[in-house]
Amino acid sequence: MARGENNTGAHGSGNVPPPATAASTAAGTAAASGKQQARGAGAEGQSVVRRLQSELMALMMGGDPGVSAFPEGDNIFSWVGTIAGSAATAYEGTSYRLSLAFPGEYPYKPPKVRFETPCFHPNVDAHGNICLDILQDKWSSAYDVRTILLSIQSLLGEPNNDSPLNTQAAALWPNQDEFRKMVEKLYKPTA
Amino acid sequence: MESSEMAVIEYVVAELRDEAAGAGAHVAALAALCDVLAVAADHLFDALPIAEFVARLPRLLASGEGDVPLFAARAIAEVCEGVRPWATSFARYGAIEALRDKLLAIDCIELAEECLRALGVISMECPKECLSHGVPAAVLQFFDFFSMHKQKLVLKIVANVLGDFSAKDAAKAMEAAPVLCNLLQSTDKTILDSAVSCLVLVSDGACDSAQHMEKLYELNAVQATMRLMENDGWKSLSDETLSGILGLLKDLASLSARAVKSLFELNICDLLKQMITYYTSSHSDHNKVQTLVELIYYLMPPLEMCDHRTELIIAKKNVITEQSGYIQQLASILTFIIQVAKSAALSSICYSCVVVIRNIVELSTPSSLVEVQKTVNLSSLLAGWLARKNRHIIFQTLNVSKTLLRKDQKFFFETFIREGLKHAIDAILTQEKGKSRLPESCLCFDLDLETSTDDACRINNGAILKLAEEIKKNFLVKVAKSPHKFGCAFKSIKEFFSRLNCHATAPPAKDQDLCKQLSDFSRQLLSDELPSTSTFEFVQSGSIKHLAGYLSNGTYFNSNLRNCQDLIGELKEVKIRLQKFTHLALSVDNESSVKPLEILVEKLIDALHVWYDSFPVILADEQCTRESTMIPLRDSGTEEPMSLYIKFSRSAREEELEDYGGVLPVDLSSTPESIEEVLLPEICKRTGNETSYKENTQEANGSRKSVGLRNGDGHKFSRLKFSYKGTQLQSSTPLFESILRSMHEGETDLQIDPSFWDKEHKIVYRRRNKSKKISSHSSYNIQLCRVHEKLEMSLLKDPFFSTILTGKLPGDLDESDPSYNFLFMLKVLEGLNRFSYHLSMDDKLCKFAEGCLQEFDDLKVAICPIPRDQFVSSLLTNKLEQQMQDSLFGDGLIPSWCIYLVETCPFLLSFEARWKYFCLTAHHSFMTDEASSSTETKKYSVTRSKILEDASSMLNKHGSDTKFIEVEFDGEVGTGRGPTFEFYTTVSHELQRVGLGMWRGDDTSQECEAGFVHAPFGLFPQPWSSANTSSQGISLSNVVQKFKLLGHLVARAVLDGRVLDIPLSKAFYKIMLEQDLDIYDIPSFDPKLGKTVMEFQALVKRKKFLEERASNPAADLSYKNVRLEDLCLDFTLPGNPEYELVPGGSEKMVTLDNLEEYVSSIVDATLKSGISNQIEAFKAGINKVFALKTLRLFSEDEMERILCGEQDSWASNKLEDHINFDYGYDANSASVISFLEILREFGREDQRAFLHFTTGAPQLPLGGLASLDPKLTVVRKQCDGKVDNELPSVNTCRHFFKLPPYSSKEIMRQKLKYAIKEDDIESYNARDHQNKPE
Repeated sequence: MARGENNTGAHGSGNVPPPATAASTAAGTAAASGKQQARGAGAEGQSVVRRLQSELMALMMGGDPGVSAFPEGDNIFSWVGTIAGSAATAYEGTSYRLSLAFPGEYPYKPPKVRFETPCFHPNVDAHGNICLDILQDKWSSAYDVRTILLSIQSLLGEPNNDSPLNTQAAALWPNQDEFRKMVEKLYKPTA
Repeated sequence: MESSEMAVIEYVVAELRDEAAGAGAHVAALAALCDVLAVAADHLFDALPIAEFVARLPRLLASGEGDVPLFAARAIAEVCEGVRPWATSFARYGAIEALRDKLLAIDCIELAEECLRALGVISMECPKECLSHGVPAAVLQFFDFFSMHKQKLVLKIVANVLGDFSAKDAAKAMEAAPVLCNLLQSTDKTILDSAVSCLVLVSDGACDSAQHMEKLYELNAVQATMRLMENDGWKSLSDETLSGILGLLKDLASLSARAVKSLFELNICDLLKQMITYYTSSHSDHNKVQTLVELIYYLMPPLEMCDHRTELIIAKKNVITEQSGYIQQLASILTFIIQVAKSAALSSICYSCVVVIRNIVELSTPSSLVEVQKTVNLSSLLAGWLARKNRHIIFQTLNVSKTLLRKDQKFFFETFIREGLKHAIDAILTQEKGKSRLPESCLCFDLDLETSTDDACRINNGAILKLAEEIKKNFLVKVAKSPHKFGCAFKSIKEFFSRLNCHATAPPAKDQDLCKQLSDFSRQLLSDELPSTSTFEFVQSGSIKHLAGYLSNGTYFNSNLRNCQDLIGELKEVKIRLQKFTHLALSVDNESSVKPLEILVEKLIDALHVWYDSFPVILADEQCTRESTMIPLRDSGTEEPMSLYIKFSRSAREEELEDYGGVLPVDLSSTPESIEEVLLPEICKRTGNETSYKENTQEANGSRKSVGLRNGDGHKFSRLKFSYKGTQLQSSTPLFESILRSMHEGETDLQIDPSFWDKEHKIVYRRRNKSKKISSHSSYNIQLCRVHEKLEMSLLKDPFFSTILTGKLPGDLDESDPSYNFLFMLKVLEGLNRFSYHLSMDDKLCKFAEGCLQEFDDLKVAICPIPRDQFVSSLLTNKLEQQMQDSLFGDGLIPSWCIYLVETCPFLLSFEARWKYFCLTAHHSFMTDEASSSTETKKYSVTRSKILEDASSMLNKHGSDTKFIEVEFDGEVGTGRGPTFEFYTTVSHELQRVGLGMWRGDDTSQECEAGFVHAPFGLFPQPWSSANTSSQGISLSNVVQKFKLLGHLVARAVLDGRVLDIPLSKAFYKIMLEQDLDIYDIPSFDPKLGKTVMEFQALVKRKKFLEERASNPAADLSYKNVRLEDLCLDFTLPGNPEYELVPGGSEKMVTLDNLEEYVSSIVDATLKSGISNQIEAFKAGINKVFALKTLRLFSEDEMERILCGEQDSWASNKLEDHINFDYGYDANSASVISFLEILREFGREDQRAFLHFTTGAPQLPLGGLASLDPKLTVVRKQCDGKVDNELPSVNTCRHFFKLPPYSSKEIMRQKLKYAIKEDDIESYNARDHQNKPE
């Protein structure tokens, strides 16, 4: 694989979010959730609700190892998902929490997915945004929550270093031992 | 007061009469006279005893002592300024001589200046006398001593005197030349312009004399004027000055061999090439081009010998032959002249060019001529010119041909055969025998200075025939090779179309192999053989007719083949053929970057240009044409439109109609159709025919039903036939034009004689016989109209598809006209190009249905259309431009070919020409920027806090008023241009605000920024269900009002030339242009919805296909391995759950059985019924100002350009403020500097492609580049291989643009263009995306 650009030392600690940032993120999440709540209650999106309920049922009965998801609170349009790091990867033994916000046009348009647990990965930025093609122009209405989570789980072990959101992680990827240490260092599970 | 003034006058008269009085007394008297005259009222001059002053003042001026001459001169000036006709009287008493002598003596500067004042008036009244007394030289003698103001007066006097003089006074005029030539070096622009103007007058009057021209040369006129023009100095000269200089140089070159030599030494040809390019493309100016061509002509010795010019001819030949570089200069300009001739709209310019070409060819070496042939294909152009009707052009073209053959017979013989020149000469030999000579405006003397009205035309009856015979006999006797050439082309064409027809009828099972075979063969034919085929061979091979026959499934050849019984089947067959040909024509071979369609279109346009005479330009009179450089403005209140006087009379054989018996004044735009409505009530016999009349009326009423047909001929059932001089008139061609064409049958430019308007023109009428064809045609059109209502594909309703389906162009164009075939094919190909996405995607869906494609991801269009400007004909554009410059264009003098092209084939004309046409025809009061200051405006005041309400109220009041709107904001300082501009911008912003419910994406609050709707692919109306008139606090009626306001705003913006800042989608522009939309348009404004709906449609087609074959439908009808039912979709509009697609839709689940209904419901809601109320309101808003249909001549890209203007922000220096540079780059990096320059140089389409490549969407959020989040960042791309071979790539998540450090700006531009262009067809994987994990 092609090596990423060399990073200057000044960026070394740039990806560790300070406590204030974490607090801001939490506040932002709460605000977004509130907005979703208001819109969701008024929309009466029966089609989307029906679809999401069907997906929830499939997830609960499917039993895919390492991934799970559930609506957050009473808002069917806002979910929380969890992904366990796959075995034999730098993320083995970790568990990441993600947020999924579904638009009114779902499944014609993809949900917005973000890591809430800080994740050191070439394709995840400091705010948890994920660069993944099926969440953008490769989206299809045949995809669902399950396939999204499985794809992200795979992404953890197979990043695209040519298109990094975290250049430090991309540069470090070839050195898996050092990469693992950084993952563990930055891993702070959300309670 | 008055009495005291008269007392002074009497005192003055008494003193002047007293010869014995001394100089002192005369001075006192004259001073008193001047004081009185300086402040005299007008009526005082009537009381002056002018006889006394006229007799005495000149004498006092001439021989007075002391200050007497000064005051005498001043008195003369005052009197002449007061009553100008008295200048003539003074002249008779020697005033001119006296004034001149005083100027030459230059005793006193004050006296000299008074003399100038007097001469300033006298020179206007008595220019001839002034010239004969040598006034020009006198006033110029001490030019440098005068003040700036007086210097300008001097030049004004010279201009007055030299305005018009005869040859015998030329010597006197030449006396002014030395000083004028010196003034060419002046740094004052006004003086320079005046000096040039005077010098031009001198040369115009003296240009018959070689001696005078040599004198001008010796005064360095050539060097001085050339110095003014070098280093692009000619662009900063005023138009009049530049024209004057060119005219002066032309006169010098015509009679002075030394001037010619000097011009060559100063590289005149390089300068001429620049000017020709400038004035034939971006700054079209036919008069300048004509002057430039004439100047080139005079640089060379004429070929025909004149007895009294022998010495000059020999001298010029010596100049040119002694330096081979001069011949090379002329040879280098030959290609430019050829280009001018190629696109010249007027025969006179074309003729001049051909003559110049002939002269240059005569002087050129054979090898350089061979090079010219390979570069611009001169032989092909010569063949086209031989097809003209203008005998002068034909004659000179034959001369060029003869010279070429003499220079290199072997080479040109072959090209003459290939390009059809030999064929054209043979045709002339056939036609000229027994051909009577038709009257034709003589062009022989256009380029000759010695013009005499009495001289006979040099081209006598037998001249052309004789010359053609000579050429054939001496050069073209070998005919053995020609059949082989034609045979080769014919064979290829026949084989191609026979395979094409087999392909069309092959069963699907065999399609794969046959398709491959045909693809290979067509690749060879279209990509390899077609480019090397001459236009003549292309036309002669019959490929156009064969292609038209193939695409129309035979109806092009025989319209009786139309089968009314199976119209839908016919539609499908034609569509299939279009799809197959689209794939062949727009696929790109790896070895070549040129699409076959581009080559085909180029050939067709070249062929169309051969039929120059099918599009005649009508000229009113030459003076008007030459004077008009602006768009003519017509004020209907001040001018009566021109009328034509026509005497209608009954045909001798007609018995059932009355004779009209009168002369009828007719508008210029009247056609036989419109005249018929006036005549019919008068000429129908009432006695005994009342019943018959009623029956005819009923029939007419019945026929009127066909008027509503969109694709019918567009004209009513006509009951009369008109003819002029035995020729039947076309029913839709204006009478004025038909008469003019008949009067000028032998000419290509229709010159109107002033007597044309006074003369009575006789037109004969008679009844038209009914025919079954018309009846059958109407029936067919009615059925076609009914079928249209059922069609879902917008492609099938477009006029181009009707053209191919019926095998006939719309309207009643003469099918026997040679240009018909080319217009037909160009219209079909342009439509095919425009709908290439629709055709190709529909083809993919069908292949998917039949199992040829297995994956949904294969539903991609791999081809893209050729640029629209490939279809533009420079010749037709120039002809239209020329026609629009005529003063009568505004009076309704619009030739039918102009109307036809604009309405039916607008793609052949440039956008600029169509915009001008739109301004002149749709809005007579439309003003250009230059004239806008003189127009009336109406002022309105609006409150910023409720700008939408105020705007709506204001526009409702203003309506279609022709006055400009000027806006000011309440409580704010400022009015005029600035606030008005801000008003349009602000309202267009407010209409994009979230919460109005107007646009798609309004209800997706997460994506909105700063409170405005962000539509990455352009704004498109949000569907509203008719069941719900309000939703979430917004009412549909309010939304409808907003769309009406938008329509109003759009119309006013077009009318007033204002710019809107609102990114409407292409699909919305299509609606504005009244084009239909279908499922294939959805991806253009909502890619995600469009993609899914398209995939569902594919599934629907596959299900149908399987059902027809009685296969097991459940086998493979899943959607990407998911059962359709598991998608949990119901019959509500995606993203709009309140919108039920069918009653009870929220409870109805989408299944395989109702998927078709689901898809068509979404399409209907999205494109038709869901937005119909909004669209109707929008159109009503526009129609209130002007008719919406007048916009049909534009395309959606052009509408955007009209409304939103060019994106100027990219050309500013603020570009780097909105872009980050990182990871190896900073703002000062060489690569970054080049990158920014390239971005600034990009046109609109390239900018859009760059944005699409970088961000995934062609539109930026409101606020432009500054609003992009995250910010656009350019980073250095790491390259493992050779840097210049790498392509840029992007990360659309972070708006990262990865730019390799290319070695040069040009390489960077090439790679950049390649990357952003290839992105369009998704075949280039430049976007860095995460691959889907297995």
